Amino acid sequence: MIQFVLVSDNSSTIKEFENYSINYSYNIIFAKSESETEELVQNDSSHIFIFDSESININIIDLIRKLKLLMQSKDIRSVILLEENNPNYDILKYVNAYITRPINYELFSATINSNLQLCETFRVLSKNNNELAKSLYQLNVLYNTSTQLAGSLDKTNLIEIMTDGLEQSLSLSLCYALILNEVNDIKLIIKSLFPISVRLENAIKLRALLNYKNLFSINPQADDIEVIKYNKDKYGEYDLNIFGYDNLFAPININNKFYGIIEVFREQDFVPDDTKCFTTLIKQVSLPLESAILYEEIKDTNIKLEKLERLKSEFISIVSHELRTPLTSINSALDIILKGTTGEVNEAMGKFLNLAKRNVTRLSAIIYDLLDLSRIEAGKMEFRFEKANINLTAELVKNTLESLAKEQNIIIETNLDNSLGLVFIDTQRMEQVLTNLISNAIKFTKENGKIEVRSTKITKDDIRKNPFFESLPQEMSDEYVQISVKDNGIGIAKENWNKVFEQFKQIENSLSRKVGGSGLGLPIAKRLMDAHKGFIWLDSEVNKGSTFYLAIPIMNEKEIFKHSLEQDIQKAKQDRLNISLISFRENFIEGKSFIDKIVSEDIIRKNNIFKELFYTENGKKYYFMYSVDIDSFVFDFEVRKIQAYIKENSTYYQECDIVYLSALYPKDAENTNELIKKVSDFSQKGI
Amino acid sequence: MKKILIVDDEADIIEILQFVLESQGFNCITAMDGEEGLKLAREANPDLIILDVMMPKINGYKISRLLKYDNKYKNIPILMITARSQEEDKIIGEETGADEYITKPFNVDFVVEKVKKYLG
Repeated sequence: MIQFVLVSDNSSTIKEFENYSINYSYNIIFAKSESETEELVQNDSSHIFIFDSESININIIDLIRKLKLLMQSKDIRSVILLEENNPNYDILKYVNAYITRPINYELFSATINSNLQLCETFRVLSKNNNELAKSLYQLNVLYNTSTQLAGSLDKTNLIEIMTDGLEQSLSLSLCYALILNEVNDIKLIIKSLFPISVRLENAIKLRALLNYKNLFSINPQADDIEVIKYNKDKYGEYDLNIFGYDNLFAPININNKFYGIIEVFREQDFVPDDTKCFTTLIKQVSLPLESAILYEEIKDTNIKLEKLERLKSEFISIVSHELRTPLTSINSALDIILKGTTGEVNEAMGKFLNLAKRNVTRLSAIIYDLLDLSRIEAGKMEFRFEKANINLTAELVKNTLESLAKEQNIIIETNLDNSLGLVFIDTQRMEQVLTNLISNAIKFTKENGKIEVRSTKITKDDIRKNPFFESLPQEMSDEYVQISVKDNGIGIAKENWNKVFEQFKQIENSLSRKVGGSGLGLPIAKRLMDAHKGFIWLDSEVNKGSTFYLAIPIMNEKEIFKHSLEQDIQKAKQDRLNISLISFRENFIEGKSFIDKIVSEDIIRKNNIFKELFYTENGKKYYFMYSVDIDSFVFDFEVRKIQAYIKENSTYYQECDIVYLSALYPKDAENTNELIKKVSDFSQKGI
Repeated sequence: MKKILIVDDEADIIEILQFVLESQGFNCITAMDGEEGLKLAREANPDLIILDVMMPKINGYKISRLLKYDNKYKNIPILMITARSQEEDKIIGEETGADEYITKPFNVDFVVEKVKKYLG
């Protein structure tokens, strides 16, 4: 029987339709007010509403609008009953059909029927649409899950992502996965909508094990299982009856090897599409699982290697420390005897005591080298970089070693380019490198030899073209200072060129044994050069001589500022001091200020530095940079104006040729002026 | 005669230092561990203390700190001796108030020179 709602408070209309319902055996529901209609829309299954334009107290347009809001997904067809004489056409915009008075009941039936048909069509369409939406949702979950899977290398996490995906796409009641990492490392992940009872948990455990045994003929022990449980809702409980739900089951394979099993339960039966979704998701997890397993293996190996490496460094460090004490005793005892304090030393005794003394000195040198190397390798070597003239360092080393060279009648010549400018180096370490190179040259050069120390400027391309280097870093400075130490000694065969920079690989050679040494000098030099972002290499011909080269990057002011800032921050952090950065800038380069360019994001990010506008003049802005957890600070300013400003604010601050200043300051300094005053108390460092 | 207290757990080092310093005309008393060293420092009125860092019971840093923060003993010069690397120890050593810092392997002449600087 066809059913519709008549919305009318007009008694004659109601009467007319009452008769009509009897004649045509339609089921008519009468709504006599707006509120009755609203109630019907929400609670009744009627789809067709007929509005009587002759209603007295019902505003039809308002009502239809209201109903549309109320209906949401429910499809309702509205038909308006119009007066013949005075049709209100405006209302037609809001309805699906209209009928004019006097009512032609044949036409009326046809209208009702066609609208009913439309309703049915819409219902079918929306059902299909829902199914489509469901598939789309499943696909979407699949896609999201696979993205998440690709982002994880943790095995348990991967399984959890997979079960999450299953839960979302299949709206499961319960899902469990048993995964076996090793025989004694078994995890059971149970995800359920409601909490599960204890006996269900035990039953799932047994069921999982049984399934596992059947599949893989491996016999895991129930006690070894670690159970991880999740449930969405707090209330309610699942019990054994869940095994009566529809279920899907699958093994998890990796590379044809079984890794685990998974089973899912749902109150509602699974349809073929669900099964497809289930298997797809499980297949998806196998590849990332394989990667995760490989990754874990590599990680384990790496950890072992790192540990070994650390042990080695620690061992060397401890051994060298332990060796120093007995060496001190031997050395001191020899000194006492050699000085004659204990009685006269005859020539033969002196000769052998001196031999012993020489070897103790040598042993000490080896221990120092070992310590240096272990410190560099452990990353514990401390560098103090500063702006320096490398030529001065070279001169200094030459002067120190000149007497040693003279003993063998060897001349050291220097040929230094004075236009090189400054480099940013740890002078003490650079001295160590140069001492090593020059004393090596002395050792391996015969009597009456000649050593030449030369400095020049070279470019990045010169290094890139050098066949000595098999690989070079991507980032290189444009220009380098090159120092060469050339001798006319025994030379090094080409196949050994690279070996001299490797640890413990002094080339077998009678002369080398004669001259001694730890064989660590050049490996240390190599690492020290690495720390300077520089290079060391050599060129040699057997019996003609060798030339060792150093290349030290030439940096501009900005790079030096950046490096020294980084160094100071690093240093302050190591010493657990807090750092404060104050920076004044004026020069805007390419829209960005000087300090912005050099104190780049990484420093700012790493150190929680904040910026604040500090001072403006003539439209120029000066910034103040600070950090909350800070104690020492750095000034950067290029301009006289700033110096003037600081002078005004600090009576102590006189000489202002400083671009950069680093110092400590008490945390409680409250305002900038106070800070500036305090600056005067601190060490200054000019660039 | 000036009295020097040598505190070191290495008997050989004590013997060498004692020999050298006595041959220079100093009077030496010795202790083989930190506890005894601290006791002697407080009771034997030494004019200078040579102190090893790594020792059983009480280490050299602690002894130095205990003495240097005590008005009664803070004027006794302390020479610290250690086998550990210079930089790290130097910082701690300075903090503990030691007057001089000597790393192993040391040269006996250097030690004598330092002692004479304070007792010369």
